Amino acid sequence: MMEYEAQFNSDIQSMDAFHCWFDELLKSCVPSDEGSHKQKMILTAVHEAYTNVIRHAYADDDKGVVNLRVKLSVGGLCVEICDRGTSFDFDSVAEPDFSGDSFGGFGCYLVKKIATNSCYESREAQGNRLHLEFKFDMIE
Amino acid sequence: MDMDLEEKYNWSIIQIKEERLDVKSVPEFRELVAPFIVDNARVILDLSNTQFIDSTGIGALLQFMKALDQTDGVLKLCGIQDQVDAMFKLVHMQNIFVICSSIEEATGLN
Repeated sequence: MMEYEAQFNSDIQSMDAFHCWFDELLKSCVPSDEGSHKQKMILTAVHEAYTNVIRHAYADDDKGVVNLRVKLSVGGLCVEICDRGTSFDFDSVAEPDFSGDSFGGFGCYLVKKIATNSCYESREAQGNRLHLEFKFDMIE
Repeated sequence: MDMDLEEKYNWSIIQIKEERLDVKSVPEFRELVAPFIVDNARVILDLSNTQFIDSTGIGALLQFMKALDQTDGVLKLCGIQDQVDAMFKLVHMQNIFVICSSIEEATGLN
């Protein structure tokens, strides 16, 4: 099973480096017959999760570290986004307002909508971990 | 953030050059579009260069649309690319924004 790992800083400028790394990884890992659309959807979900870490877990800290681990599996891949910032209740995030009157709150919803499975853990010694599973045939 | 601007048939047609409209680029986007929030503004945002949008980018588009609406202005979007289209559908925004298939359709001159 192929595994990849990278670390990024928690400041917004790291977004370019994250995109560069993860985009190239997806191009090499997602089978071409699955199409570039699925690569973009996986990138979108992980981008939203990564953004949540920067903006919320490390809200007052631009020197935090974000660890990403990617494991390829048959028919899919798993991504773990790990941080040591402020934790939150991933399962209780409210459904966003889709009326157009609200300008935010879509991030967690998008992560859960795109990923086949998602699971968040927070442990004092080990920090926070968001585990995302993507099955290629389940991504629309 | 770079843009091309064309004034055509009483429409301000803004084509942003940024490939990503996201948490990093949104502050510049807000600065870029702020001068267009005037009474009765008619703005077409050409997103044909925008290959990626995130939830922050969608929020910024909503804010821009609302700001124009409050000054009796209009915002139309065109040049929607694959990932942007998928995002709009995921958050049910395809019926909130006015989305046109071309600038000509947006100006009403096709």
